[in-house]
Amino acid sequence: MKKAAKKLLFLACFGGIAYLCGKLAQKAEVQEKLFAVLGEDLYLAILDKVRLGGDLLMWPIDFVRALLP
Amino acid sequence: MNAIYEPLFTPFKIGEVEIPNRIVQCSMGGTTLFGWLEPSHFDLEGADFLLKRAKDGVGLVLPGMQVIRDTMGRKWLDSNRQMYRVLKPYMEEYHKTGGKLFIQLAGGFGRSMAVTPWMAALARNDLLNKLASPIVDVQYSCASASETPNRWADNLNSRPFTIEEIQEMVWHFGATAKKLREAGIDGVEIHAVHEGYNLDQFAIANMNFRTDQYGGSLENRLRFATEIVQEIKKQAGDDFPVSLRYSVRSCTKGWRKGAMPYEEFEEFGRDLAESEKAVKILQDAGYDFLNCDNGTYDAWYWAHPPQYMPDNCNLADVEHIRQFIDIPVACAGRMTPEKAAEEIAAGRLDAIAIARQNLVDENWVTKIKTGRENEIRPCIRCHNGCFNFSKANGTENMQSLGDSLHLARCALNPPTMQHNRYKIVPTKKPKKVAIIGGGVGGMECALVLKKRGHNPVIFEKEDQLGGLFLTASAMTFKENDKKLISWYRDEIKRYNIEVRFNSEVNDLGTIKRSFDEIIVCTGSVPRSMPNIKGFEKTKSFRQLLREKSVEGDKIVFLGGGQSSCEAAYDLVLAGKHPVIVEYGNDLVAAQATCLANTSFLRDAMEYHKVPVYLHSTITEIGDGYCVIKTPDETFKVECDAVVNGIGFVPAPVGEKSAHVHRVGDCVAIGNLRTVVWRAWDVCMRI
Repeated sequence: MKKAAKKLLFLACFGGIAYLCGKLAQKAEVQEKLFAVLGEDLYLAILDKVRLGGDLLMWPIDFVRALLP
Repeated sequence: MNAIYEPLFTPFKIGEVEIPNRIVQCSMGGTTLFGWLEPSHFDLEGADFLLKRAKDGVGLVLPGMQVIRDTMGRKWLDSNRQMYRVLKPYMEEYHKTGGKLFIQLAGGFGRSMAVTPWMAALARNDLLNKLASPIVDVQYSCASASETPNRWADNLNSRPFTIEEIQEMVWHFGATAKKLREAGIDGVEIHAVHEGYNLDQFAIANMNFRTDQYGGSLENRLRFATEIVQEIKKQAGDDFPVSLRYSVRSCTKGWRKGAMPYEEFEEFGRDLAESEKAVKILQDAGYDFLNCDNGTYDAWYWAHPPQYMPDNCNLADVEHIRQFIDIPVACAGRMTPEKAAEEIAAGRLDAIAIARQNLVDENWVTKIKTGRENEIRPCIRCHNGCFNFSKANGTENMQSLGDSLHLARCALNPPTMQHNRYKIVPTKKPKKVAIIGGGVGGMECALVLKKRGHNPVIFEKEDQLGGLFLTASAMTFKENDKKLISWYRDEIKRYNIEVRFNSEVNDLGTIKRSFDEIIVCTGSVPRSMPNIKGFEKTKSFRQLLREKSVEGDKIVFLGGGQSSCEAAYDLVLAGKHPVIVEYGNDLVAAQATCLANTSFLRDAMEYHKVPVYLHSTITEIGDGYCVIKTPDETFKVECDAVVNGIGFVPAPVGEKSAHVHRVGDCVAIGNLRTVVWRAWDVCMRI
């Protein structure tokens, strides 16, 4: 039980941090900084993958939402 | 406003619903309110785009086609109650603009379903299709009136719909329309006895071999479409307006064969005589409006005209059938506002239907209304961002996954349908940015940077802006490409951006000290193949098209890509005799170039009897001749010149560093979309 609670807490923290990172990465200043640090090729390659991943993630979400009453 | 446009801004009625003006935004796949091919949901991106169109002043907006049964998930469109609840407040907001919105409900694709390789694999295997069917049933999505060959995949036939399936679909059209009306939608448009979609496949005798009540006579072939409108009127009310997307003529010569705009041919689909009777039947069945064009998927360039088709290409046919009915009629297909206004004023047409111009310039209606029509960014009908279903000999639909998920984006205007990804955010640290190269990439960079508050300076080696696009737009049929260059030049002036002409930059070191950032947009140079004897004698596209220094009648193109085919077509129109030698198995076999564009070029080469050698190459180029090697023989051909059409290689200047960036063909060879989108991707983050 304790283990399960720990796992849940970890997942919640991880999810929360990922969400915050996502929100932060949408800020123009953060994007400018990342662009300068990573270089345009790496930054744009990652951006491309993140965008496609986001699109694909929306499919199961829409699928489940469509099943809701 | 210029007085010639005034007829466009008069109201008209569809049934009992008054449309505030004559401008109809045609439905475009992807601009949907309930999602594209994914499970139906209220789509925020689509909703944002459509609301902006109404705010711009479009009288009637038709969101992208909505299949009555989800392709993914297979739920009926009337089953998602939450979606309709969200729709209601949206429509209240929408109606504040004064505009009207009809939802386009589709009866499926049938044989036109643009199957990708994995879809074709499912459709060809009954067991796999059955296993996948709770999520996606490709055989159902491809089902048609009869067993007919798929437009995209070889060796794949549609299965015929059963009568029960047809009647089930008809009932759901009615149920969906009822829910839409309750949510505040102004009407529906049925998709479509048009473009060779499913209902059109029922309507066309050569695609419908049924012997039941849905086959045989014209009345029977139109029964599916007429039952739908009757069911909608029954469930949603007699006064709920129903439009029909309708192709007057199919302009089709056979399976996968279209007819040129100037060609005399035997019609395989619906001809004008049959159309005269069909529109009367459809009107009598209850349709209140016909939104018309021409074509099928086999003659796709009529419904989605690329730059090779003439302006207002469907107008004469649409005006012809309007004489046989009393309901209003709109015409789509490279319509110009000037011509539409003239026809509406003369009483020959009721509305202008415009699609992709709405993607490229979000304020084009406002610009007309305020007398700024010369500020409208023109659509060049490239279909690279909005509609890049592509196919070559032996392939299925080659569209990438990312593009399949997002239709209706725009090559020239990245914020369209992705407004959260591409937006102008003012900078807090204005910088001085040198842009090396004044082509489309350089000009786009300069505009984005200037709008963000930076101070860009363009260094252009020639005495004019345009770069490589000056050559690409030199053909006679590329009027809108030329207008695009003018638009860019005007914008550069309007934003007061400094341009240093006749300034070739070969060493970035000289300007590094004076600028915070440098963007290299130096484009590409023609690829070379020195292993071909006499290759140095080849001519470039620049020499052929822009400088017009290539003389003679018989020009051989080494390479059969889009540039070669477009140049060859230009020569054909000038009465010359081009020859194309292509290493691959088809002309313009490129991913991301729309089949509407490529099939025109392929059909044009065939119609004009241009000699095309596939799986072939040139082994020697001499004075007045070249040697062509095909799989079967090697032979000498007399010619006036050989044009190097084997492609381009990036030609960047200087080394990359933290403050030196690259945009456009100097990164990788692409198209206007890759150039413009990368310009935004880079300049949004400087």
